[in-house]
Amino acid sequence: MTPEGLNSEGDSIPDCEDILVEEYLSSARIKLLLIALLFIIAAIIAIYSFTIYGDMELSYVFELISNHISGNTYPEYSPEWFDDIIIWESALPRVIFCIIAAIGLAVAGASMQTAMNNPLADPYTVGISSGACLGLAVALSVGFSVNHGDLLGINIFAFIFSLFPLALILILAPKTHSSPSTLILAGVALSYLFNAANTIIMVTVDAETLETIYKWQVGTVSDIRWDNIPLTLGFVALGSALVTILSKKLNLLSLGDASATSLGVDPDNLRMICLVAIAFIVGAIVGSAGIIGFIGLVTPHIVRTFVGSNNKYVIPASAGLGIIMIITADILCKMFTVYDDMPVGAMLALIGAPIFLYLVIRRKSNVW
Amino acid sequence: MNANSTKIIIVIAAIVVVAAGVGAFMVLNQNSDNSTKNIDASLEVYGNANNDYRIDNKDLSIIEKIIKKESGYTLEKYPLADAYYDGVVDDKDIQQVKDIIAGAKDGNQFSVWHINHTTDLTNYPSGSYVVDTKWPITKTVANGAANSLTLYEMVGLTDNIVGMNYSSGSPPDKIIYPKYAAFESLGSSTTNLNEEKLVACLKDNPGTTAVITADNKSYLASGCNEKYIEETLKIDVIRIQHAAVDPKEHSSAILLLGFLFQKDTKAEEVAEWTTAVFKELDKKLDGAAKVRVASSSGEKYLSARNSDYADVAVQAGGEYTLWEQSSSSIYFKEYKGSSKTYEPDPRVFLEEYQADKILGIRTGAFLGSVKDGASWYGSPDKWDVAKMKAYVEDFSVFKCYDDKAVTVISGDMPIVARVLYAASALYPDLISKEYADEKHQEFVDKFLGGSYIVKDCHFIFTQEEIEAMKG
Repeated sequence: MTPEGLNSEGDSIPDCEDILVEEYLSSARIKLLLIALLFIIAAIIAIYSFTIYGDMELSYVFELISNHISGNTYPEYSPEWFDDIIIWESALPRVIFCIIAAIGLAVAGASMQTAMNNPLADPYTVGISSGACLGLAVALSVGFSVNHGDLLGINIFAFIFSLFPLALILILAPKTHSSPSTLILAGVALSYLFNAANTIIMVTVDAETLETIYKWQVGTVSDIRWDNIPLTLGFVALGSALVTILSKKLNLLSLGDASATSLGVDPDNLRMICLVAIAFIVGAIVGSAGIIGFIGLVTPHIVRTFVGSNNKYVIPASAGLGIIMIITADILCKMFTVYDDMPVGAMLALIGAPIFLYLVIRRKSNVW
Repeated sequence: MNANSTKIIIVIAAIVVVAAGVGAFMVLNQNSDNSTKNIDASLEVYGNANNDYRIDNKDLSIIEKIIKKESGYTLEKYPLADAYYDGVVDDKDIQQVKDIIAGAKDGNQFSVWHINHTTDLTNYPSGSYVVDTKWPITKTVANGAANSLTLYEMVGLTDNIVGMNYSSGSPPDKIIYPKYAAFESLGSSTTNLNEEKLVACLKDNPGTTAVITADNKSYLASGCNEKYIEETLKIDVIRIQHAAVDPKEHSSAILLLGFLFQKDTKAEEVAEWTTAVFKELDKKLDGAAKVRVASSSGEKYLSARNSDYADVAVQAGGEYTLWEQSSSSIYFKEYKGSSKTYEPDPRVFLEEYQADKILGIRTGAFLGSVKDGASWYGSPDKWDVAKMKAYVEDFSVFKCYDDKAVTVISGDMPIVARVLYAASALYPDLISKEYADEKHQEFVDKFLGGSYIVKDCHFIFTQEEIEAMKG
């Protein structure tokens, strides 16, 4: 008879708990590795994307960036001076914005789906996009001009309006007990309301303003400049940090409100805190680039098929995949259009929808 | 020395003195031809103190009087006297005007200040703002709108333009603008420039210092916009009223282009000719009962009162019927206004705006596909007759359609000619088509190098002509 805890060879037998811990750690390591891989791929694609601006060699791009950082300047109007402008004033802010927007939208999407306990929720569910659209339409119709590059004023206007639906929901929530379905329905109602106001404005503006509003509704990053970065970065960083800190509690929400309450979480409060964070993240992005769809809805679903439904992994993985998708879409927009005039939102839907559909059809287990 | 020798020496000396005097006069008055031309328009450049059509010694004289504080001479009265645009009139302004009169030499440029026009009345209620531009311009990128192309040609900028942006659906006509038609467009339309293509063009053409665009606020509005071009690329943006129909505004645009590229003489010739033709037209129409007219520039659309198309009708002597519609064009098949909704029958809405005549002012796309060769200057076998008929038939909601009162004229010809053809449509008894053809040909011969024969082209169609077409 062998002593308890040892096998016939005399080695210790791992108990069930050890096996589970070992499997968990192994699984966690794989997930972390996968997330790291996503970010490595994202970094490679982001670096590659610089080469499509003005057909420059990667080494030349690095040389320009290096010289710019070290303060080496070129004679005005020289070819290098122009190339430096293209990289620093166009490519860099655009790529950085794409990264920020992808992180923000993915984080917002993943947390919105969990907070609302609804796979169809996306960052725009509570009417943020319709509020922002109305902001843009109002800004343009009352006289804000894009004529002389005063885009920042319009961006801020759109951002402020994007928060209006949230403000209304915050006012209404205590009276409706803010259940997820009520919040979603309230968001839908508010979206209709803001869209109606937006449509009324759109039928009265001139063709040029209409074109601007429409282009912005589809979501484009081709007009992004450094001016757009600070506000977006600030809100996305703060909002994402908050949501990431709350990710464990968000996991409990997915068990249902009753279970979450029994585990010490106040679902209503948590949901509202998440909504506020998401509204600021998405409002800042939409205010600058318009409504970039798809990422917030789809990337969390895609990554859940690989990393499961734990938000601890879903949120960073969604961010990594979001960066890959938006920068790839932006590269394709530039490669397949002569004048870089295809909105990145359209390209994202074009390449993302088939992938998502494939995953939905092939998925064997229901990870949601 | 005999008497004859003395006489010869005196004569020679007299000739030398006279020749020296004439030479000195010419040198001193270089670029300041004191002969007065019949031009009402203003050259909107700081330094043009007397607000006439050129910068010359007369402006210097005014600036000197302002500096000396002579009675009646103040900066408020002569705002353009501040040539250096620093808020005071002093020696720097004198030097600036002297430099302009002397003209830039050896490729050296210096800043001049002038007026840019814009339709962005919210930010610029006066419709204009002051910019500094490196002068003279020798190379520029330009927008390829049909109205702009004519301006460039008449001022003689063909060799100065190194790149152009235009819509693929409406490229420059190959027959009259072969150089422009050969340019790869630097943007998706006349309103947009693609920054990478613009930068590539600037790299390929060192010395390019300007981008010429239109006053319409939609031009250079997003992405590679005016602020980016001015501040980041350090390229001057010049906004001109390229479609202005008002004779003074039209001539001002021509004079400004002429000044900026040191093509003053040609610009003044055009401005003078234009002024004379418009005056002649006014004289011919003097006392005629006003014809009520509406303009249209697209299928099922009528032009707003503030549009350039409405201005053509008004300049041609018409009374614009849609005067209340001040800001946006009207989709007359299913009209919905901001405060009222008129549907389903547009006749209800149109009743109070009924026009005696309708002017369709269309670019080449009216005739068919420009890419496929349909052109006002080209062959009728390329025309899309069904499309032309459909455009005219849309006006059947107007009573005057039954009176065959629709006329379509080309938007791709010089504005003066456009106004003359419009006048011939509104007042056929006073202005004949032959008169319009004659003046149009005169313009083409004088300022467009005789690039086409007017009678071989088709710039105006009556409703009856279009309805009688086969196809």
